[in-house]
Amino acid sequence: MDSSTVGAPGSSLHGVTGREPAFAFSTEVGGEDAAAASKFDLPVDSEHKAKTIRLLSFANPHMRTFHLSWISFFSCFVSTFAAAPLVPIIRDNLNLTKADIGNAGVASVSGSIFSRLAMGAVCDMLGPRYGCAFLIMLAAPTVFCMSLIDSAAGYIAVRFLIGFSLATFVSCQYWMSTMFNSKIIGLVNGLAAGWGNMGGGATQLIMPLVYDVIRKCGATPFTAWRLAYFVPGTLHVVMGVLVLTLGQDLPDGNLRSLQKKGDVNRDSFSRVLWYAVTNYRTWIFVLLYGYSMGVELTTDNVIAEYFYDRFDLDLRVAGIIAASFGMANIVARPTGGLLSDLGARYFGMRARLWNIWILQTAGGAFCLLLGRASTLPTSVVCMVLFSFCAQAACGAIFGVIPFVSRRSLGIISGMTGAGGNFGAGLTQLLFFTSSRYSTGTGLEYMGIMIMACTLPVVLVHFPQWGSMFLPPNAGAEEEHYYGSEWSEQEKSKGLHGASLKFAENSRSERGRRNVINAAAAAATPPNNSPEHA
Amino acid sequence: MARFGAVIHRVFLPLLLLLVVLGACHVTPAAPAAGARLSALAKALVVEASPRAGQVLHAGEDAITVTWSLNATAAAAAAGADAGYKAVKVTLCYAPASQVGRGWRKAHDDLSKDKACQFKIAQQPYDGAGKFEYTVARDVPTASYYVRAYALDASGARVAYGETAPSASFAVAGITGVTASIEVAAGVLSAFSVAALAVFLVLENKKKNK
Repeated sequence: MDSSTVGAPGSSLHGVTGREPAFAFSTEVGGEDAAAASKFDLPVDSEHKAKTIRLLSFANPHMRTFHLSWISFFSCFVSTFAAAPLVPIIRDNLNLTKADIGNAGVASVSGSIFSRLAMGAVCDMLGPRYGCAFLIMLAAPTVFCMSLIDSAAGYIAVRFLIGFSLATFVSCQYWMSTMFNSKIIGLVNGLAAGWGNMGGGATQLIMPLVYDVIRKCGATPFTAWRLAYFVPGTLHVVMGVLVLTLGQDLPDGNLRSLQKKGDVNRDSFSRVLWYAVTNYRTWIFVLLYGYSMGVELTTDNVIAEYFYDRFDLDLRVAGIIAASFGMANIVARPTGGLLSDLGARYFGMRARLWNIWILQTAGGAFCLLLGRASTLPTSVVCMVLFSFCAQAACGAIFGVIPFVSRRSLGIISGMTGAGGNFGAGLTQLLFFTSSRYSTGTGLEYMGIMIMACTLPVVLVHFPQWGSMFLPPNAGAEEEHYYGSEWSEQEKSKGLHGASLKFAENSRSERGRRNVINAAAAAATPPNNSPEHA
Repeated sequence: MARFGAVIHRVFLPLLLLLVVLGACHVTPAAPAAGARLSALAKALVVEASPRAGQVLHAGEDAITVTWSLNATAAAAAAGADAGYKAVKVTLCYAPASQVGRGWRKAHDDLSKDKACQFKIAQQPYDGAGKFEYTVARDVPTASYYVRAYALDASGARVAYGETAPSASFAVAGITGVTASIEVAAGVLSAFSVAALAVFLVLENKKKNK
């Protein structure tokens, strides 16, 4: 399948990192380099970035980077959520109340709101390899600290500190964008993000299993969970060492040229920020992502304890069930993006928006049912469907984000990601910290709030493509929408060239009927005004 | 792309399905004597525990002596009322103060939903009166407790109970679980992590400057 055709599945995730050249360089594949082709395992472009991905390969540098990068991100998710399946033991050891547990959950996702913003700057300065290694190895002592705490305050503080490590998301995506061509970067980043998020599910399997083994070796419960925490800690150290020894910043291994390029790609930060912040669609997607990714993180934090308490399950079984929530990320998130691309091929951007609304609202409905379910099989089925829909919604949202803005894509992606964490903290605080209602009731309310907070997607309107209920404005053009992010002065200098090129490529978002009409119109004589469907 | 789709369909979907099936098929452990209500049981036993109200016991070290006997003044203490009592089960229950803000320890009248009495001290054949010395186990957490004893009939169903006053609870100071070897290991590994990072930085800087 040719991933370079416009509208091909996966192509919509283009630009999700915001690190792709939106300014000075085009997205066109450069000329082939015969010498390079022989040196690298994968076909490469003129910058020696890979043009394809081969998942089962570990060849240096591209695939090795891919695997080092997503596994580092995965291990940070493992350590951030490692406490969740062990909470039934920890809460007795540290004499925690429900409020303490809830606050710790909020703390675990809040730290990364800030660390993700800082990580971008760190990657710019030191490169993604050092950024990743720094974070993961400096977070390792905090993970080991968890084994030493003996109070609620210590628990909350350490979970907050461990949560900073989720910023490896940024280094992961940044590193991929130095290794993979922009035509497949969307798919690559989508896979890495989904597989990393899977760590939140894997940890619910790993930790109770390790705990059980240690208990069988004779340790008391309160010592066993502390010993179990050495597993994520050691994973951090091992991955850090591997990244430092096996990784390299660029396909050619040369850090200095990366820093040189950074100077060329500089747009005015204040202008970029302005256009991100004043575009109302940004804020709607921040809210939406808070209620798809956010609720996913919150559920990672509460679901094992919920099954343990409600159905009197053994810790390991509760962990297995909870794990299937996070593990669905392997397929769910990329599937959301795929569905988005598929819908867009026939019906354009309107299909993408409907896709988001359908998936996220269905997720909310299943969350509501999950809270209500009183038998184990029903509960598990609802949870699996909830997880699939919520994670697919995450993928679907990032199917639309690249089209919200071309100039401010990086900041909008970053804000959306931060919105996800913010939503996680907020839902955990609102629904799972108070003793006034049970966790099951909390899940019900969360489901209702998801459905309510998904409604604003109805308001997202692209003049050239329409919205969920409104058709496109007559005469609106993609060029005008993307061009409006540049001032006349900047346009006169020709700085908006890449945006115009993107606008032309994005005509596929009109859907099949409209693209055909536009193509037919383009064939008409120049002094006839083109018909817009 | 097609490869990815194939990988999804052939490997991950079945794996996911397996996880779901595993989770859904697990048989929940049978709830104990579903429907028995505490308020319906006769308070026919008198239970006493050695700790005074407010005394702090250390898990793994200190001991509780529990004594129980038939309540001589209760109306149900007519001769033969205790003929049905075949065994006595003594449990350690969380005091109301330790249940606040902790739904997983909540007491419930329906004994199949009750979560306050989680630790079994002893189960012995009923002999009119009895005594048991219990060393507080190392997995008993820091909290306030009182003691409750159930009288069981031949089928193991609860038919009567007795308890020490929940308001006059005693405290247990649980173990922290932190051992010296954990502290040492955590310290060593943390130091290694930071040191390894520093060493790599220095080495690579040297190589760059060469």
